[in-house]
Amino acid sequence: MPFDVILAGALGVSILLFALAGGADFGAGFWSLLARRGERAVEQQHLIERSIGPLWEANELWVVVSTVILWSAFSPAFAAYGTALFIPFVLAIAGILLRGAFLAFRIEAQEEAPGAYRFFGEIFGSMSVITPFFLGAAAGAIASGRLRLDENELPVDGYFQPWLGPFPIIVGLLGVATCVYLSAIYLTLDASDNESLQEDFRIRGMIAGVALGVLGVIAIPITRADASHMWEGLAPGLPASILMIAAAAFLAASLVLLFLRRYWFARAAAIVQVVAVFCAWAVAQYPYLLVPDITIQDAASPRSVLVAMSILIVAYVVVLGPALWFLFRLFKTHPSGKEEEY
Amino acid sequence: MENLFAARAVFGMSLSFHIMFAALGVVMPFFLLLSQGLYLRRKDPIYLALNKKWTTAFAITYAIGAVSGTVLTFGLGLFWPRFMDFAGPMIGVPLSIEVMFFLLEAIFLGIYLFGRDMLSPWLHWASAIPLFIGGFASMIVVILANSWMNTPVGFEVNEAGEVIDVDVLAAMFSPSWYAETSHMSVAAFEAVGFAFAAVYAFGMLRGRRDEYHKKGLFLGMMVVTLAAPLMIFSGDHTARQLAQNEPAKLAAIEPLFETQEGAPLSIGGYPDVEAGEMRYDIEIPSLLSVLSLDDPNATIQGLNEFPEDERADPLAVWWAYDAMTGIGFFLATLIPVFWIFYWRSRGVPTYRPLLAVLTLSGFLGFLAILLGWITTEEGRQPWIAQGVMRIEEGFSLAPGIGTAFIGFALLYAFLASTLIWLLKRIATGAPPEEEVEESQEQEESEGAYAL
Repeated sequence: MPFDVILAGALGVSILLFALAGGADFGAGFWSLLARRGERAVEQQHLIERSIGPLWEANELWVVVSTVILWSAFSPAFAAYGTALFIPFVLAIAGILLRGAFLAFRIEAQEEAPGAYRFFGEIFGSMSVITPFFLGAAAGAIASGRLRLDENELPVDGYFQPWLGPFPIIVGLLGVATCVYLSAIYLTLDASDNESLQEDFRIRGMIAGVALGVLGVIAIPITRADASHMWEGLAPGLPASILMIAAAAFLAASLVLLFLRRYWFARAAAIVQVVAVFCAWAVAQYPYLLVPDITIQDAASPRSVLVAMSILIVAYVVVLGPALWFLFRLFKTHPSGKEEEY
Repeated sequence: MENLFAARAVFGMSLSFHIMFAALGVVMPFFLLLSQGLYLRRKDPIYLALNKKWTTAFAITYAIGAVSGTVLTFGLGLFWPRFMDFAGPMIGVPLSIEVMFFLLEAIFLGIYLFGRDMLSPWLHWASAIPLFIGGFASMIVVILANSWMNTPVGFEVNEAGEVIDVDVLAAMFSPSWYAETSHMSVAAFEAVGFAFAAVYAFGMLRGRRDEYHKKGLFLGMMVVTLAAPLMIFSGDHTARQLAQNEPAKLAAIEPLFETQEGAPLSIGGYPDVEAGEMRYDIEIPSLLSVLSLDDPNATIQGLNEFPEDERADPLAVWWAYDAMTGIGFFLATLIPVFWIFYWRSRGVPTYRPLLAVLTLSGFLGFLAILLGWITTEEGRQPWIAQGVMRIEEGFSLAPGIGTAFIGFALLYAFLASTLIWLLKRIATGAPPEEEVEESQEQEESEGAYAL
């Protein structure tokens, strides 16, 4: 297999990991915004902190991995995104900066500055919601074909038109809904030591899942009208369409499993659902990095760089794999509820 | 032109903001290892109290370092897309390695921060080792990317200016790599060491004389005492490297207007660019030639060797370079002074003027880092990649860059003021009593850990 396709695959995997791990942390910000009053709200806030506190930095850095793969292996595409989608990306990085900083501030403020805890939480929560929206809208602009470049590689239709359209906006909303849905389902597992909290997030997970499904249905006619390349890629019978049907089935399955309180299986189904949607998207967009002007082959760096980057991807797996395994084992199979038994 | 200015302003600001947290992120794990190691060896609860306070502070400063670093990775594409389009293949590989080590640091930060009660004490201590390795290695490789901008090699372009072949290793280890990475590593240890000493010197100035403050100050001074001698070698090596590979930068920062045999080192004064000479400076004959090329009669290239539109403006760099070296020598002198006082008072000195100077040194170390980066970046102008791409060819043409600059300036100001406020709340002068109890409890409950 050619190295450029391998690296495009690695790019996809890093974005997917960001969605599954980092995205859920963004979704937790949404639930933190909703937890406002009463004793239960305090418990919810603590659950959210306990759940994402040790992991959020590592989870969020997957998007940085995507960025470096993109600029090392496909630098013309990176330059085109950065120029034409300057506005949504600048807003997204401002959001990433604020939410991360204020999550860390908030965790420390709980003991050291309780007065500011609430205010820090509002910033963390609101920025956690807007960031996935802008990232989703940028992804929508890239796939829709709305973004065309002139011979100087500047956007033909200006800097708003490419991402302020029906398809990018619905993708932005789907991005937020996916984060919120994943987060609620992950939180049911993290709340296994507290039944009432678990119930809270079970119900919220079902609501978020239904919302995600409704948005997904709304997206169908919009894709047809506003993202023709994607629409063709998703035509019945093609691999992408089968993946999409699988995704819908797994979304429904995750809701049923939540209803039945089979939380571990519900999480597995939710993850498979996100993976399926993501793969469908990737297959439908292939071979473009920017529909329809830049393909993987057009943008690929010289071969030596592609080889070096491919070796580096192996190093990523070898170095980070065991470390991540240790991190998740420590915090995810060892809920701090058990600590109190000591 | 306005976009160019805004892109430079936003990046200069973001890098200045990030570099301080990056330096902390590299050196603080070392302090964590040191304090916790001492505690585990000597069972002195004061070291545990220091370790816990530093862990709390590190949690916050690391988070800011991580998110401001994320801003920079995106920012390279947003503010310098045409540069990245060209240079991505060359600087992308070291930056990709950087992100790997940075992720390693992030993973073990989570383990160290939240795993204190879940891991056995020595295993918890050991989890700070990959934390340190991750931070240190990511600093080295990220500077490799910058050194390529100063001495770009290892690539071929075709007639259209597109990169057609890259020698990955040559581009990673460009001629200035060793000088830059070693200089910054030592600088980080020196600046952060002085910052740690300064925190406790300040506490002692405000009347605290307890063991907690004395030990904190002592550990900070130990680290700078190890770093400062290395700095002398590193500074010397860096000057030689400049003379060999970046003569235009050396001429601008010194500044040396005319090519000379046996060039003098000028100290102080100011450069009269129109007349092409230094005024009111002290000149030490032949010293620049000796320092750069080991030969009192060696020829050093002056600014006149370079076309007028390919020179850095001496006025933009000379002051930063002089101030950086001035601070370097001042801090290097402060160390023996401290140890003389230490020896005379048989312990950490409490002499107030010394404590005041040490408090100041905490700011000076970071200031020197910033001045050093101003020197190397302004000194390369007008190039974004020396001799290969001019800065006007690199910036973004998107609108709204000026607005983004103002927005980010406000954001950084907001973050910095919140951070300072929170760190002040945390720096209460920890009550060691708590840790005394805890260290006893911990001994009793040993073996109750998950791993």
